[in-house]
Amino acid sequence: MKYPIKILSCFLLIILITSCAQEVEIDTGDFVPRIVIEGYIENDEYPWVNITNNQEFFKDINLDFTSEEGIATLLNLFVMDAEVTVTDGTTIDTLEFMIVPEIFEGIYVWPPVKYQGSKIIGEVGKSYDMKVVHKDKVYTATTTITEPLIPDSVWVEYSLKNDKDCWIHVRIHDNPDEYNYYNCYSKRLGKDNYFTECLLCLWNDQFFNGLDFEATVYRGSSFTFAMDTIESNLSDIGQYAVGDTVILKVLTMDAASFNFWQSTEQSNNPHSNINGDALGVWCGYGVYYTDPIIISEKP
Amino acid sequence: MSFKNTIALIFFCLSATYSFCQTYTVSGTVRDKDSGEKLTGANIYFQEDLKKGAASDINGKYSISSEQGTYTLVCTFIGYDTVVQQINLNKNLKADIRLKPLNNLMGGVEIKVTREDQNVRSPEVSSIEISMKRMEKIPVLFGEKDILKTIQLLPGIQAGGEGSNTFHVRGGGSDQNLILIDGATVYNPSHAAGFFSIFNSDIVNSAEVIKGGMAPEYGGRMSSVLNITTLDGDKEQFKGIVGIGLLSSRIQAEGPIQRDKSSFSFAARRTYADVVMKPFLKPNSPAKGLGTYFYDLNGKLSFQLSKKDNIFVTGYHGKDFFRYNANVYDSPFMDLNWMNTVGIIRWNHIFSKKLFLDVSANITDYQINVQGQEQLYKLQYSSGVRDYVGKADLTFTPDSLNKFKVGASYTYHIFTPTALSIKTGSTSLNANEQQKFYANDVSSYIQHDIQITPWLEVLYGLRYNHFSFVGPFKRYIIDNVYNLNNVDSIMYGRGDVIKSYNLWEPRINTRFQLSETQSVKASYTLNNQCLNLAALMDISTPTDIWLPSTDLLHPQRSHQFTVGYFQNFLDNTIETSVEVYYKKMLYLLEVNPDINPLSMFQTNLDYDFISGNGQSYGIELFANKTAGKFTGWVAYTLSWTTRNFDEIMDGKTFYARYDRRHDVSIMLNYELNKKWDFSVVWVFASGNAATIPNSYYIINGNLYIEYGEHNGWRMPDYHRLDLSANWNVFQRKMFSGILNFSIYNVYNRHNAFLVSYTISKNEENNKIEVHAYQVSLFPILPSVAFTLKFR
Repeated sequence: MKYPIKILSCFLLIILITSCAQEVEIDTGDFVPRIVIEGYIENDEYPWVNITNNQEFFKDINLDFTSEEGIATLLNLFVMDAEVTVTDGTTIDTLEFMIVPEIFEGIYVWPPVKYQGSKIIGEVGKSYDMKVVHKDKVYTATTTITEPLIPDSVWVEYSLKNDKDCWIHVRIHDNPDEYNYYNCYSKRLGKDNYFTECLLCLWNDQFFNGLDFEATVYRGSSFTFAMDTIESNLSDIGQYAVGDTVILKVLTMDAASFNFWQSTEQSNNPHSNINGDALGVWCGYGVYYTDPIIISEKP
Repeated sequence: MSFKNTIALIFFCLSATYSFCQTYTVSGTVRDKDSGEKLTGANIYFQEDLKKGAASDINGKYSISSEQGTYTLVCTFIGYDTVVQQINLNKNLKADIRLKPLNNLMGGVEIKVTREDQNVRSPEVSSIEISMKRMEKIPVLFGEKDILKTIQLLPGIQAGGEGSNTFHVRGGGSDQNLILIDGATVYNPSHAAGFFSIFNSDIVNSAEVIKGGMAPEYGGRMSSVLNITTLDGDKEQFKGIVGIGLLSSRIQAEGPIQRDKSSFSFAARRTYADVVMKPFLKPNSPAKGLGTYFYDLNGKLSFQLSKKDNIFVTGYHGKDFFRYNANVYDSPFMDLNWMNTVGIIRWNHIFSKKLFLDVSANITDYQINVQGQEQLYKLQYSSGVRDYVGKADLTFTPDSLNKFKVGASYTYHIFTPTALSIKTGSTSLNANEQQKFYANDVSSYIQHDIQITPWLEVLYGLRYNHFSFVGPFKRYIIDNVYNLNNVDSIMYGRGDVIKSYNLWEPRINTRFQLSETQSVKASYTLNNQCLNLAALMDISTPTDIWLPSTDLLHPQRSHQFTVGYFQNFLDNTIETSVEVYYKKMLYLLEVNPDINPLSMFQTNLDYDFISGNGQSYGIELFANKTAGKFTGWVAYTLSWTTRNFDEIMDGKTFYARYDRRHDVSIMLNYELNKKWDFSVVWVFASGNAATIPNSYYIINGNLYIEYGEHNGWRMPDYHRLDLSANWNVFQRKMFSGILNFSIYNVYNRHNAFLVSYTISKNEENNKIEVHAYQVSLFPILPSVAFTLKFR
């Protein structure tokens, strides 16, 4: 639902049709190294945090962590010596650095390493403080797990042009008494290694406060797409296919978290909700998983 | 007090400022002998006393006063034979002048046989009159003559981008240019996203651009005035033009309704890019569903009611269509159209030889409408601005040394910045109620042009503007920008004044005449601007939104100082000038870069701006050869433009996007014979400032960009060579045909329109790779156009 952007994109389309592009080298000036923190706490889950370094813009990075260069990337990209704690006000959970187990099974997930909590399990309505200490610098943030949203209905619409493509739609009812912020992830069983963010599903309820709202869940893919899917096919991003079995992960979040994700869609720098000179987000999610949606043959 | 008494009182007060002496006046109208068209900017003077002279105004009128005696009245104008006539000035005389074109069918051959020293002698600084005959020779994109692209070749005026007709004057934004057609404001002068202007060259009679030193009669914008007048129509004979080009065709016709009393002028134009492109697109091309074209219509009626009264009715309507119906998936369509409509009625009355009245009323309307659909989503969006304007100007020329002008205008603005309707499935979403901004805009001015001594002339005056932001209006009270819904509001009733501004604008232009061919001019102007353009992208698009100054948005303001040295050579056939300017800009407005465009549709749009200051300074050099077989100009600008916004880089000074260090334009024309003439244009511009990424980082498996210093990087330099030739294929008594050949971007330089980035994963080596690409718009583009003129 980014119509203004779509309108403008149409103009860009005209430009691109009549234009040509050639690769150029650009001097981006002095690189400013910064720490990047992404941390999550969901209802019924332990918190986890991933800490990385930002990268020079035109510097390639190798994600083949079995290669020598990939290992160098790993060491340069990930911050492994930070002290990370999460507290709900009464309990302090010191997160442990770990390699994600799926990696050992040959399944790629993002991130491959992280700081994992083990004492605090997320509860709806509670707030959680995160604190990261690294190289004598302290970074802090607070987030809240909001009430999960259960969709009223989920249905499939088939393409008019072929027998394969289809879209998934959801209908929700928005709570009129509070500000609400939504997102949706999806995972195709047998095709995707983990849940990836759907396209155009980041919403606040400014346009539909208190109303029933219907939205299309466009299938997305994270940037490391070749790793998050078993069958990588970028050409049909946005759609699902006949035969897919899909689980939707419907998310709610607080305003600061939404602000970060929304700002990543702007042309400006994203707004981190982390205090200290860090990039990234500390995000609490109220999560609801739908039952598997089995997409049968087109009627 | 009666109207007459009021006028008398005003002029009694005015006349107290100079000592009265016994003089007589010769006055009249300068017209094209063939067409009867009024000529603006013709020079009329007494040969015996060159200081007793005037230039014909926008209605072709002139007036010269002098002591009793016998004089040789001379009238000159570019492209016309000179008229010389003896007169005995022993009473007030009326002398209408008809100038014979030197070659009207070839589009005019610029041969200036006598002195043309307006640039040295007029008190206005930074003001340039564009010759339509010269414009016709300049090579242009797709063969479309374009006044807006022509003025971009002048010093101090920058093109908004490759092929674009938006322009920036002395560091100002594109919204800071007051663009007038027959006195009515045009809000979006662009067709086809900026590649064509709405001004059909066949109906443009004159164009004047003022970059600084605006006289008090002009107001409402900070940076410049582009004053375009259209053809009245030939009062003696029918004639017309049919033009056929690669992308558009046009027709123009004019003639008498009642011979010598009334006339009409009509022009129409339509592009057919939608038709031309289709055969060249592959069946599965995403562009297959693309359709775009525009048309425009111009009409004008002129009536001479009596020797002292003229009425003009002008109409313009132009509309752009853009449709995208993607055929890649089950996608959707988007229909977008935008249109300008202008209607003007003007009455001129001559009270006496010394007193002219010009009264007009106009309506100007700009609308954009969008409809889109994709899966569950349906959207309708519209935005626009409509003005109702009434104004009157009174010109009093008591003698050759003094000229007074007073005027007043009233404008009722209705802005509809955002009217949005969204449906998803069966649900209509709570987009904001159709939100309109209303404003009353009352202006008045007085200006006095006085020649104090033979070497000193001063044009000074004061403009007053009372701008009121009025109801009905719903002001949302928001707690912070991230919690926009469920907000409180205040409702203002119709006509309630929510905020008003009283704005005083002193202006002064002075001319120090050093010799017959040399002068130094200096000016100071204060300008306020109560209208703002919310640009959603770096490039100008029709989706840019207009809205007024409000209780949250202070009017933008500029102080500009200009000093110029002007000298002509070779009997005024070569004009040269050096101008230095400094412009301080206050309360500049930009759309908050952190605002999500969607939130702009939720509450009041004026929450989404940030305010800051700016300055621009530079030097402009101009050499212009106006006569002979070989004509043309060279313009060079060296300038700096900076901005300060608290919200950007913590208030540090940064370069404006259109800060451009060097800007060079060379336009040369050579008339080989009556059959052929050739033109060449070369432009060079330092790269615009841009913001580029400094680093990237990974979150949630996705890559995000961290941008570096705001506008801290420079695009590559821009330069381009264009050629054109006009071939007068045939010339009969009733018909003539002209073929124009143009080549745009002769040496096929890939100038950077924008720089884009791709971040991709190389599947073979599992690497994330970042690449920068320079997107260029137009390669070498030859074009041909045929123009048939008949009479």
